[in-house]
Amino acid sequence: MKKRALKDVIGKRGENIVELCLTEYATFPAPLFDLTHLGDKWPVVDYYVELTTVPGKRPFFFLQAKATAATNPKKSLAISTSRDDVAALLEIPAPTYILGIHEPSKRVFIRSVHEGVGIKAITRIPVGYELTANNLKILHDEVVRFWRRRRHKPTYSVFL
Amino acid sequence: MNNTRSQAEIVGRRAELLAELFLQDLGATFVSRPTDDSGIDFIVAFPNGQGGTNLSAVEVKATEHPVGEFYALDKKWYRRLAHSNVPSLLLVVDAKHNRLYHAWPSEAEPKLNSDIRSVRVRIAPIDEEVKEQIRERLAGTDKHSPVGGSR
Repeated sequence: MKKRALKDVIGKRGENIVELCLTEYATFPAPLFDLTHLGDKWPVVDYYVELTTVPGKRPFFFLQAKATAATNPKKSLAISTSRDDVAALLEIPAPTYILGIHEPSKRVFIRSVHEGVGIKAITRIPVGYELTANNLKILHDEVVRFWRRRRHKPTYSVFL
Repeated sequence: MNNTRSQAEIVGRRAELLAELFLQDLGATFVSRPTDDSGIDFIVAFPNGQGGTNLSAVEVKATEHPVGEFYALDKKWYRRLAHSNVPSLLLVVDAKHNRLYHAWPSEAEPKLNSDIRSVRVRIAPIDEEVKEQIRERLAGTDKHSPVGGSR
């Protein structure tokens, strides 16, 4: 298989693995998240993710996903993001994360890109940040806390 | 436009994704989704070991609960699978617990349920051993298929 074709296969499988991971609910009454893939033409972010659990509100965050078929991670997963990726994620006024998908094992790892994170390439995600059920709940609560501290809507518009 | 996807939609979507990954893991040459509502979720192709390709139809049914020995399937769906000109695999996916079950609908119609509209299909859970049996059958290299999958 040509290198480009192989990369595409990993990417599509990676997309499926991400969606399954974020909607995993074996230990929850219902999935915590719903998400949509934004498509290859949308820059910087790959997924828009909504929380499904907050009555009357739909907090959200964005994900950039990187799939890899590299060897099974022991201490951390190696991923290939660039300085520009991180800089662009920092420009988005909402929670943003980078996902690393280890395609052969279907394991997914997460790393936050938030204020204070240095503008440099992120090339590793510690295995402790694997999106297990426990970390899905932590991610969920982290995003809830972020939006709780902010105004839900603008209070003024010219176009009223 | 719907405001949100219902849980049933998410469960159905999860079942399809789990099935697709399962079929890819088996070594399918391709796993294709028919574009219209044909009653078949996937067409899959497997190399048959003689230089050719064996095609099969796969129908996915989603549930959120562990499944017993039988699964009630609408008679219309059963006939669609059983009377196709390619082998048909029924995958029942417990999307909450990530478990898969399977059956091979055949022309011998199973017992009708009391509601008349559905049939009781005997299904089996998929473990590593069963996974290999399914792969062989999809590739036409098992005892159920003519050599090289020439059916």
